[in-house]
Order: sequence, then C-alpha cells, then structure tokens
Amino acid sequence: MTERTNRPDQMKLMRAAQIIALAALVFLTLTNIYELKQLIGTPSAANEDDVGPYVQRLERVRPLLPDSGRIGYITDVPVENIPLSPHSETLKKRYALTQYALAPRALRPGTDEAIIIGSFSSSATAAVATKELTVIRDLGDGLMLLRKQKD
Amino acid sequence: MFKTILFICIFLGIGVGLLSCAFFLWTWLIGAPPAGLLWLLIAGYCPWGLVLYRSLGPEPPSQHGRAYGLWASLFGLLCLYVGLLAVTRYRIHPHGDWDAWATWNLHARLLYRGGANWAGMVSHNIYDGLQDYPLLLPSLVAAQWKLLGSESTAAAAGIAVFFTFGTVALLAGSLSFLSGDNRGFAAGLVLLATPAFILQGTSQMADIPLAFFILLTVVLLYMSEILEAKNLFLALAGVSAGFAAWTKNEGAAVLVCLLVSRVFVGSMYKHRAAWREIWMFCAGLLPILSIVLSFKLLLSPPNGLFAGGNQLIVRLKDPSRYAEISAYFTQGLIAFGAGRISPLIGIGDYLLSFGRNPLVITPPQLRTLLFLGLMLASYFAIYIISPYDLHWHLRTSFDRLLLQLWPTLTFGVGCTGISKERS
Repeated sequence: MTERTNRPDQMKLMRAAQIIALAALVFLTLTNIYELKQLIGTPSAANEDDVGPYVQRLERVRPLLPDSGRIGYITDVPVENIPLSPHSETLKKRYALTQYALAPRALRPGTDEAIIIGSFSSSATAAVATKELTVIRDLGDGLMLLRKQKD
Repeated sequence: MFKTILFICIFLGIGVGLLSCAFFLWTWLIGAPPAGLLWLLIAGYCPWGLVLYRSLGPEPPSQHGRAYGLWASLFGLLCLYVGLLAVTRYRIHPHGDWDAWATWNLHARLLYRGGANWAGMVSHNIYDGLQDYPLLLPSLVAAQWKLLGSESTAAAAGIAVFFTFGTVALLAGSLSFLSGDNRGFAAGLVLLATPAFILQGTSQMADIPLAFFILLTVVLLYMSEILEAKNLFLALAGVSAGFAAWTKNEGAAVLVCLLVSRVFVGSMYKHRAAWREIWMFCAGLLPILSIVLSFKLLLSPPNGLFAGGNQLIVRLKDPSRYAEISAYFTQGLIAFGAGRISPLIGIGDYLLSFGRNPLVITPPQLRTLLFLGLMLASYFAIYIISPYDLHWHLRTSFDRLLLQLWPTLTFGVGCTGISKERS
C-alpha cells in the first residue's frame, strides 16, 4: 500500500526535477547568449578591427605590382629581429596581413627582391630603413614601393 | 521535420566536402576550373539527395507532446538572434580572426588568384606556420568565389555560418530524429549556450568545420546501427571522416581514434560484423584520404610538430610537461565555453531532463565516449612532444581543440536512452 502511494509521489518529484532542469537549461542559454552579445560588442568605429583598413591600404599598391612572383618586405625593424621586438605581435601581424593582401605574390623578408614593399609606422623609421633604397612610389600612411639603388 | 533537417545537414555536409575536393583536384591537375563546370558538378550531385532521403527511412513515431511548439519557437528564436549576432561579428571582423586571414583565407586567395602557380606558394613561400594544413576550407571558399564570379569576405563568412549553425542543426536534428522527442532542441540549446563555440565558428577558422565533420561521422555511424541502409551510412561516415582529415591535421587523429574505438568496442561485445563494417567505412574513406595523402606527400612541407628527433625524446621524458599540461587541461575544462555559466552544467540539466537511465550506456555511446577520450589523450600527447613554447601552444589552441569535440560529446551524452526506444 505504501509503495503504491510512494510511486506516484516519486513520479511527480521526478517530473518536477525534469521541469526545473529544463528551466535551468533555458536560463543558462539566455545568460550565456547575453554574454555572447557582450563579447561580440556592437559595430562602431572604435570596435572595428584594424585588419580591414590595413588590407584596404595595401589595395593601393596591388595594381603597381607584377601579377605573381616574389616581393621583398621591410618594416620598422629587420624581419629576422621581429620576434625580439617589443612590438613583435604588431609587426608579425603586419607582415602576415601584407602577405594576405598581396597574394598570390610571395612576400619575402629583406631587400633581395627586385621590388620591395616598405610598411612603416613613422616617417623616421622609414627614413632609416630606406636609406639605401630608391623610392618608386610613396603611397602615404608609411606604405612605400621601393627598389634597390643602382650602383 | 527532423528527418528533413537531418537530411539537409548530411546532404550539404557531404556536398560541400565533395565540392572542395573537386575544386582542389581540378586546380592542381588541370588549372582553375570554370564556374560552369562547378555548377555542373553541383547539378550532378543533387539527384543523389533522393537516394539519401529515402535511405533515412520513415520519421519515428512522434513523442513530442504539447511542449513541441514551445520548444520549436524558443529554439528558432534563439537561433535567429544568435544568427544576428554572427552578422554583427562579421561587420566588426569581415576578414575573420588571425588564423583566418593568415592561413585559411590566404590559402583560398592563393588557390583563387594564383592559377597555375598556387601550388608552389602553398608549399614554400608563406612566412608564418600552418603551411602544411589541408585545404578543405580554402578550396571551398575559393570554389564559392569562383561560383559567384568574384572574391568577397561575405562568402567566407557565409561558409563559417553554415558550419556553425549546420553543427547546431545536425545535433538537434539527429537527436530528435533518433529519439522522436524534443531532446534535439535541448541539445541544440547547449551549443547555442557556448559563446566560445559561436565566436570560434564565426571567426572563419577551421575548428568548427572540423567539429561539424567529426559530429557528422559519429551521427552517420550511429545511424548505420539502426537504419536498413547500413552500408550506405557506413560508407558516408568514412567519407565524412575523410573530410575531417582534409579540414585540419587533427583529422588524422580522428581517423585513428575512430578505428581504435570501433575495434575495441566491437571486440568487447564480440561483435562479429565489426571488421566488415570497418571495410565499408574504409571504402568511403579511402578516396578522400588519397587526396589528403597526395597533398601531404607531394605539396605540403613536413609538419613542424614532429621536428627534432632527439629533442622529442627529451620532451617525452620531461615530467614537468605532463604536470603543466594536466593543470592546463583541468583549468581549461573548468573555464570551458567563455560563458557566465559553464555549458557543462547544461549537459547535466539535459541528462536530468532526458536521460531516463543515464547509467545504461549502449555500445554506440560507449564507442563515442571512448573515441572522445582517445582524442583528448592524443591532444595531450601532441602537447607533450610540441616543439613550441608549451604555455603559448596551450594558450593559443587548447580551447579550440575542446570545441572540436564539444558537439560530439553533446551528441554522445544526448543519445542516453535512445537506441532502445528507437528499436
């Protein structure tokens, strides 16, 4: 008799636990989606990443380059010293973005290629790095198309 | 409805994988394929959908109950809202995250823009790592550009959205198709409640496409157990596993762990047909695997992870590495998901609601859980031998590795109590 009365109670309890668990799942989902919204943020000038503008900046140089082949690359510090630089993340990012923007041309660090892209954060660093090179075109914003000086 | 959702996920999943392979092979062997040819291939693939749809059999008797409408509305609305958040994310990061433009979309540009020269560039001329990564995603993005007639960041983002929400739909559709009840909606909510999953999925990187193909493989293997067209689903599981290997290097570990778990559980239950099933699986796998191996052996440089034989032994014998990785794994699991509440709690809620007898584990579930355990063990082993700075390597990859397995874990747990009801 007691078992019979207990079983429906147990079923009710189980059912209540299931409903609470489902409500908790919905609450968890809503809370975490709210968190997702916070993490994504809103599109605004302050929130936009710097990839788009950087790639856009390099679009100006693309028509001036051959369709394929190797292009040299120099920046504020020699490429082999990038890992040691305090700004290594930024400099690596710029290199990778330049490769991305100029594909399928193969970017090679240094000044061994016939045409060289210079990407600088200031005119002072540009002046030092391009001392022994000829500027083919200064595209502004620290972006330059260069070649080796003829002897 | 769930049969249709499941059908669409399988049909499109296999379809995009085949499109990627066809684009890659044509570009490599002949040169850039014309858009008309790609449209012809797509048209040729479509009739196969009829065979697949029929092979799924009838929809199981509905046990959705009165709550169905409520579940469907809630799930649909939340998918829509998260979809809008994905669009917002695209507007902020149209080129995707770092690895997206430094590897995946860069390779897509090389394939699309490079013409006959692309192969040399993939192999040798990129400054930063990941040159040996397989090309499912880049080929697919390039194929889409070719079909559309121009490059656009929206196309790559669209593929990312397809894989992200395709994974949610595949999980929800398969669980509710197999069970006949509302559990698919609840499992789908668990994925939507994982901010890291949505962020990673919309970053245009290859981890969520890999998660999709791992889940698709496991779902197809599960279906081969209960549907009449057993051989078809086994072969499709093999094709899907091949696509996992064609998506990322981790896909190779997926193949090994799948086979080991299948053989192990097969021998545990003295399942005589296990070897025959493995052959059927391999029949689907081998054509795709041959493309992956051709790329690996003929085009890509060697993988950096296995460089330096002597140092590898030293790293294997270093106990501090084991301790550091174990600690990071524990922390990573606790912090998993990037949400305010751990999505692992969501799994607990799900089990309480739908796991009628959570301690009874069926052979397919055991295989899935063993597979996931082996995958975690293989990731652990990779970190042990990694030549990179260990903390950096863990920090930049561990959460992504967990996300690759997360939908399959949700499916494995979500299957609790299904097979008996279905049979």
